[in-house]
Amino acid sequence: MTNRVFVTGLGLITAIGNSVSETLTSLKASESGLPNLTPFETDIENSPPVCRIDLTNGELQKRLGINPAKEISRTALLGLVAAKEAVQATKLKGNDLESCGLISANSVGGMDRSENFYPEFLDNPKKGKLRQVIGHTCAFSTNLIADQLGLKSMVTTISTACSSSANAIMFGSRLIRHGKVDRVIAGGCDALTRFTVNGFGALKILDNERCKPFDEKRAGLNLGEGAGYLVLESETSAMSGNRKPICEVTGFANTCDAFHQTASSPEGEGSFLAMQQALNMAGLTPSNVDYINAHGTGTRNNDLSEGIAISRLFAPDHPPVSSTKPFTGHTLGAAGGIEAVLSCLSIRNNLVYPNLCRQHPMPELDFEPVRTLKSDRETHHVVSNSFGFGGNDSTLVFSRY
Amino acid sequence: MDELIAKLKAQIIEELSLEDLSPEELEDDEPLFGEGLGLDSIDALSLVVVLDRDYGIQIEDPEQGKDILFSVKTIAEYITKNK
Amino acid sequence: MGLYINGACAISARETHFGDFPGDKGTDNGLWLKTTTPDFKQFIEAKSARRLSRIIKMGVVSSLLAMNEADAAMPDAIIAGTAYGCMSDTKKFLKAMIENDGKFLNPTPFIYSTHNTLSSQVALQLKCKGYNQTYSQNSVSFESALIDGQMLLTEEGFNTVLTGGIDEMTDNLYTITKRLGLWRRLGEGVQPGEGAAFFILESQQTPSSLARILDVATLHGAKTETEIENWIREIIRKHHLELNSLDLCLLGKNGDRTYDDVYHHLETGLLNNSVCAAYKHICGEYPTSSSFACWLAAKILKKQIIPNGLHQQRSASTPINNVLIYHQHRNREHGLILLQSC
Repeated sequence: MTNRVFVTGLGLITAIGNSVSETLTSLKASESGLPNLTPFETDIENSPPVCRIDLTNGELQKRLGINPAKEISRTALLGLVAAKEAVQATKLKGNDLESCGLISANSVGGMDRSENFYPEFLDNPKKGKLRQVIGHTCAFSTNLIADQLGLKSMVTTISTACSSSANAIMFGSRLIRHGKVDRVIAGGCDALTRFTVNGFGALKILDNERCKPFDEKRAGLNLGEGAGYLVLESETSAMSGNRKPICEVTGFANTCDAFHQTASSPEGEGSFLAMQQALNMAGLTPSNVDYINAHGTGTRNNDLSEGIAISRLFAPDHPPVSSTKPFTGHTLGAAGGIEAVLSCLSIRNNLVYPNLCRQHPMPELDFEPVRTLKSDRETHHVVSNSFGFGGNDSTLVFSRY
Repeated sequence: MDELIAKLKAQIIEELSLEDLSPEELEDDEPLFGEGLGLDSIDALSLVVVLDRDYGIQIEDPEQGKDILFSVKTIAEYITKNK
Repeated sequence: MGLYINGACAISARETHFGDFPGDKGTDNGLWLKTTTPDFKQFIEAKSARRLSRIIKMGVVSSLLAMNEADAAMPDAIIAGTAYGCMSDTKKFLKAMIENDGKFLNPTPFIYSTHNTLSSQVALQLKCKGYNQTYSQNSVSFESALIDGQMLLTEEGFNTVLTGGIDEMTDNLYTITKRLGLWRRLGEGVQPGEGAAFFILESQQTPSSLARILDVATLHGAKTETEIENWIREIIRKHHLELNSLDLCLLGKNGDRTYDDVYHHLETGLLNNSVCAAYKHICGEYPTSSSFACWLAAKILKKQIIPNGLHQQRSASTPINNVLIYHQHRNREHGLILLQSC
């Protein structure tokens, strides 16, 4: 007998809001809620536009009660803001909090600081400020969050590129199903770094304008930064603490496309299998699904592959599909966590978010993404997709409790 | 042209870590991708970087890229024509 | 239903990749214990190997050798644990980015720099479309992967899980970690190291089974000696074992005077009826070295011999039935694996 998994707390920080409610307000505002796109590096010509969070590290540290003079990875700070919000929403404390697990994800650890260490270091191995590189590993931000919140049991980090935090939520859910923990904070964080901006730039998949998911003329993604966490609990834990579930994690799957290190297969095999297996686990048929929050990055390759996988599984009655990436940017290791929170909010508020910036239909697809905000139908079951390098494809299913 | 072809072959082997291949084994008009040498899209991006960095040639359109990067000979011809 | 190690391979500095017990002397480059690797070309086609860095090749080859030993054709899941991930490609891309100021960047090292490159390259080599996961939690990265594997094998559709721990030492990483003081505290005879150990886990025992994993657990944050003792005691009790039925305890001692006290406390207290031994002087100190300890424990349980040189104070009586692995990193991350003969 496996335990059911309930979502009892949400935490967010994104380019469109420093909390769950601020982010939701921007989403509901549609076009006027879109973030400002700013060049990543203002002193470099043609520096790609990104979706940035409008708070400096010092401001974040002040908010968090950490000495603003300390040099700490932004990834860790963003993670702490969102994880704290999620925990505060549950009012967990004392032993209940100490025994709470933490499964946090990110893609490049504390690279936002360690990339500043390297120029001097490469010039002279005796040089470079060590405090910039001390937080380089992926576990650094996880440990900071765990220590600040006073967590003392199972703490670990997942790093599977852009599907990282969906996998963290999956692993956290499984720990509860197996009775290994009663409650767990799961999600992910990532800050913008020169490393990732230049990496995606070198891959030639950054749009110079706002990203256009599922548009025939899409030209790539916009990178963003942020963090999103859920508090997951077993039924007993949630009930004993009188915490009202926001929704339930009913299905998930992780598959590997095993096609190419970065490109998705043309028939979207990995994403098809991930969605299919997740729905099977939830005991749902495709027609039960009320909304798909797509990975929808805006790259030529992803949107075609994911779109075809959605068509294969859901045709002819596609549920509303949208990508929220024009709002948040692609936040890499945080994307699955942020979109999981948005999926839970979709259920709680009966909302389907618009897929903005879509002007030209993709001729290869037999469905259209939702282009305006919908609030006229109940959302009972929401599918959230996250795909990453290495063909890592993960799908989560959230259901009304 | 021959000089350029020889230089390109050495660069392709170096940049794409094709250590087991000698420049002599790589034919001038052998297709680099697919059934020929078997290069893939990651290699294509690396080659685009080489052309930009060392020859000042920018390939923006992927469709056009396919024709230019077809073989060592087509690359050399394109460089000669556009220099 | 159990959790059996049906195949294993450790690439280490002691020529262990074909299943032999560690040799007497490790291969070191003067600074750290560097792995002696099998000839990668025998296992990976030149065409697909050309872009893979050494760590990826070590991971792919140790995975293939573990699969051979278990006679497993295709795993249902691939789960890796790595603290540092793909350092050489990360550095290569950073260097190019800094030197060329972001211009003319070859994306290849970026593509291969992510932590999950290893598990996805194994999947690509095998054409394995199953579950694929990567943990990166410093010294308990491997335990995290094992916990995942342990759960998977009780879930529907998972019969064979490939999992392991892997970290590579590079010149840069050595220089930086040395400057950070990581190696200053190492005791006599313990060097920095690297390695890859992969395992085929299955829920059924087979003739090739090396050992059974009874439990895996981790704890976060500073603990008192009593808290650690209680934790170990509780896990032993959960499996209906007595403390004196632990025949061998492999402890993560590395000679660090500040943090080795907890091991001494256990050796003279809770575990004083067991033979306590060390492993880090054999494989070197690296975050996922407990995967080497797990390989060593599995081989010991299969061969029923404890090799010399593990710093054991006395010889163990046979049969060797239960082996405990416990290690901690600066009293911040604690990992435990409990194995049994089968």
